[in-house]
Amino acid sequence: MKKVLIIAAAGLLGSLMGNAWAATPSGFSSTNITLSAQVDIACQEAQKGTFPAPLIIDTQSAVEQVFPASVDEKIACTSGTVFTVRVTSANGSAVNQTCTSSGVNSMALKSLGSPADVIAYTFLCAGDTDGLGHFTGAGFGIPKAIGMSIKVASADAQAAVAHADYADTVTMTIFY
Amino acid sequence: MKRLQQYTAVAIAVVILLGGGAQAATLTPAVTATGTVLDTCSSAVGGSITFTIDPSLAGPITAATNAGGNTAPTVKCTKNQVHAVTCASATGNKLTIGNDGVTDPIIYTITGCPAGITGQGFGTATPIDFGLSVDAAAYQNALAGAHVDTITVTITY
Repeated sequence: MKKVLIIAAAGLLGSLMGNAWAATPSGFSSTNITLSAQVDIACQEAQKGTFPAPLIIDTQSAVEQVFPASVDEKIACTSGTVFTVRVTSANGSAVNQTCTSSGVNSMALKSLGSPADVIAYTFLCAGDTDGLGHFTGAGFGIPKAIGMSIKVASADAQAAVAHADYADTVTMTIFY
Repeated sequence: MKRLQQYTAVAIAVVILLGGGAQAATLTPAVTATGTVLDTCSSAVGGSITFTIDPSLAGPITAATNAGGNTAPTVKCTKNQVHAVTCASATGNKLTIGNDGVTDPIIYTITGCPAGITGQGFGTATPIDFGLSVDAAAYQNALAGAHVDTITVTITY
């Protein structure tokens, strides 16, 4: 009888030890986490454009005179974003006109000392992609040049009164 | 005849002596019960990190499982046991349009993935918090829209 009890106890212990060995690190559990990033559409001015000051308009020229910007306006937009540039002339009648490579009319240079003296001009944005004023953003690391310039028709130049204080302020608004 | 009786008496005495010894012993049977709690993990549940990238920004953009309403993955493991954790991207740390690993990739870095977690028992899920960081150079020219990736969190036990 004594021998039987001893054997039974040993058998139970052996069984438990067997389970303990099975618990040795032996597996893994995994799960996934989803990352979702939404890249926003945004635009901002990357470089402010300027024109030579003063512009010298030849009143005797028989052809139109084009004055490129000394520093072009540059706009940075989210890559692939289509945007337009709309211009408003402080001294002309153009208000929020879409600027294209063929230009916006109804812009005007006005003499500060003689406000009645104005010179009509055209504001051009030659950097558009389709001639309709559409630009496509290339990302904030690659600002887009507007390609702005001013064109004065020969007739307007020839009719201009001589002053050294013609000026206009062009407000550019980016629509995207 | 007389000699024979003497031998018999000696033999009887020996038998009695052995019988008395057996009755004096104490028998205490013992059963040893040994239980081993398994070191294991299960019930892993996924999480999510959703965030916005403004490409006009100049600095790194960060997001984390424990911020911005995001959800940390969780797992249940044996209490007080430490288990190794790894966090690995399915596409080499690229957020891509359509999660195809190719289209308009935005490279990011996984931050703070714990080397290990300590189990809290199977009544409590243990969150596995970590984050990510995206440098400006990686997102400033990205296309607009959703960019997705999947990170697999693995717990070894």
